[in-house]
Amino acid sequence: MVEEQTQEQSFERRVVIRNPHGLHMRPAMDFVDRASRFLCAVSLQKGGERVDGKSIMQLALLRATQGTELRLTTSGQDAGEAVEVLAAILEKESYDSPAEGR
Amino acid sequence: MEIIKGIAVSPGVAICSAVVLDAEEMRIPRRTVKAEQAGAEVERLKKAFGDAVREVNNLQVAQAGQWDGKIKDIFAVHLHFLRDKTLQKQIRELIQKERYTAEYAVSVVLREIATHFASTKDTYISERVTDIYDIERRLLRHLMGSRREDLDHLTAPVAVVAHDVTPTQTASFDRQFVAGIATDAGGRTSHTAIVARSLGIPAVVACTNVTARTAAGDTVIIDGHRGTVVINPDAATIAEYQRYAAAGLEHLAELDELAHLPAVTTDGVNIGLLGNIEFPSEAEITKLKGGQGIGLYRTEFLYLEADHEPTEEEHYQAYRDVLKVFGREPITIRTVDLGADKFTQRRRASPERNPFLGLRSIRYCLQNLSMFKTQMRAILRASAEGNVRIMFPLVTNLMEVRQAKWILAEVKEDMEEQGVEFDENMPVGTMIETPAAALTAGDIADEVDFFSVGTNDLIQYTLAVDRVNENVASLYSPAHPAVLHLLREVLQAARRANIGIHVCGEMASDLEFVPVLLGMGYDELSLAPPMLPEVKKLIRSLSLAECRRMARKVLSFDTDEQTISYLRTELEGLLYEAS
Repeated sequence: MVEEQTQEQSFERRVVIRNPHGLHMRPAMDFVDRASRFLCAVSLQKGGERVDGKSIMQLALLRATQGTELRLTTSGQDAGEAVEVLAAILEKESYDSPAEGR
Repeated sequence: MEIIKGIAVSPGVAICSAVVLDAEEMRIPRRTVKAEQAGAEVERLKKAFGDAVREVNNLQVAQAGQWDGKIKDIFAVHLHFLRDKTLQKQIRELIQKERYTAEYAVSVVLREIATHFASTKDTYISERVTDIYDIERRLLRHLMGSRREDLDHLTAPVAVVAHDVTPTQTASFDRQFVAGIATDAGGRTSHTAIVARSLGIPAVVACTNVTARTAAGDTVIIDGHRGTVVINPDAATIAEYQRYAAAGLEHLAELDELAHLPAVTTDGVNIGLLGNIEFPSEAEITKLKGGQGIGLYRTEFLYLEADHEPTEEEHYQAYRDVLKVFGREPITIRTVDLGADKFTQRRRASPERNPFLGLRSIRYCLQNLSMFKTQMRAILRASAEGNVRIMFPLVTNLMEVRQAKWILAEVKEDMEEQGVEFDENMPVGTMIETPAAALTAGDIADEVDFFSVGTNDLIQYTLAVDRVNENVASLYSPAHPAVLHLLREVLQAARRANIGIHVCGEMASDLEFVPVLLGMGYDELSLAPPMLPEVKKLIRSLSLAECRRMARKVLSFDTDEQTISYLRTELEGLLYEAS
């Protein structure tokens, strides 16, 4: 799967996971779903590890717990919008609502 | 090429393709494919992912109303994982680079991920480990499912490789297509062994992990003489086995010529040889191989094959089919010996913890009178058309025997009133297969017409060894002094009461022990039909005087090792010349 990187714009944001459960499944799924809808490339970095933000597997491997600092990077066409939306998901304090059945 | 050692339980050699049944454990062997096949494996992988995604989607839709938030979450996670492009890519690359099979690649990648997850202190993430294994299982099921042929659609002979084979499965074996059996579990007298011997199918049991090491479609050699299974044999090995198999067939042909000769010792003593059968179709084989009747007609298949309790008519037809083959020769029908199986357990409110010592066999029947009476009626009706005898399994006390006889008398009364024909004097016997029955055989002998010694269970209960547990297979030994002494006592009790007695367990077809049984005084043996010629050959080459001497000797030993070593030496010339 080749992602064409049109280096039109690149955005970076430092985020801290506030949710006590860390980047657990609901927010992770939400993040991946939203990220996948954007055209731009999305990546998350924790320390030296860098993962594809559109892959739930890679996200889970990041093992982001409460207090983990992540660097969110988006680059491509809709990168600007993406970085805002996605950062908001990462920084949410709580996710009480049950997952919507799809 | 892999060689696995197990326990040989049914002689013969099979060289054919393997069908692997229900590998529950799903341990995937390291398997690679040829470079040209990697593309096909990638396609299989794609399809498996697609099928798995569809399956989970369907599950979600079907359960939408019933699931709570947590379960919905879990399946949402599974769906996300299954749709993850990186995951598929990783697995795909492994297939292409390393030429792994799709199954192996899936296993490698997912287990690596699981290990990563497990290494975190965060419980939320380490809990995901279960999800990863679940996804692995789902994918593997789809992958292996596409390769698994079920036994109903066979077009060529195959070797069945399974953890164990259930009675229901063996009941549906088409002997034309099942050429060999290899199982992970089991012992010399496990059901698989018994059925394989009866059907004349080469079989090896207790082969460590044969299901994990065999892939469907692999060529396997099942050597039921030496207890070996060879997976993907090389050309040289195949040639050697083909020669070996040919020699075996010649030997069998020689034996078959004995069919019309009497089973008489060199000093003129006649020994009765009968057959143990499970299905009516085996009656013909028994006759062909020189059996003079049926010493044990197991009737459980009537309950296991069908999804309903068999009707009187179904029973009756099954008995008639066997009677037709034997004319006036005796047919011994054993009432249903079920327990610890789906028929009896399905009807229970809560499963028994120790079903083998639980409500089974005659105990079950005495608490389910209508079922018991139905079978009795059918047996009585059959008694009008041949030499039928009825036998009760797992008897442990005299009360059971009296109750069963009393019920039989009731059924006879009913039939008389209704004008249905039956044999008034149909012989009634019991299995002696528990220490309780063996030790009180004298009392029981006064109230029945014959005994049938079920050595399989007698040995199991006396030695407290599970006869189908491969871990303790070596402890299960007919040569144990306790067993030998019990057998002699039972024989003497029968002689004192002047009733008939025969041995119907696997010991009767165990060439090492036949002389001992004869020497103790047993003069009727019932065994798996394919073994009849071999046993007859042995009988015709021994004198009863020799047998008596051997029996006296082994009864004086304190260990089974002494007995076995003695018997092997004594019988060396006789037993091993042909192989």
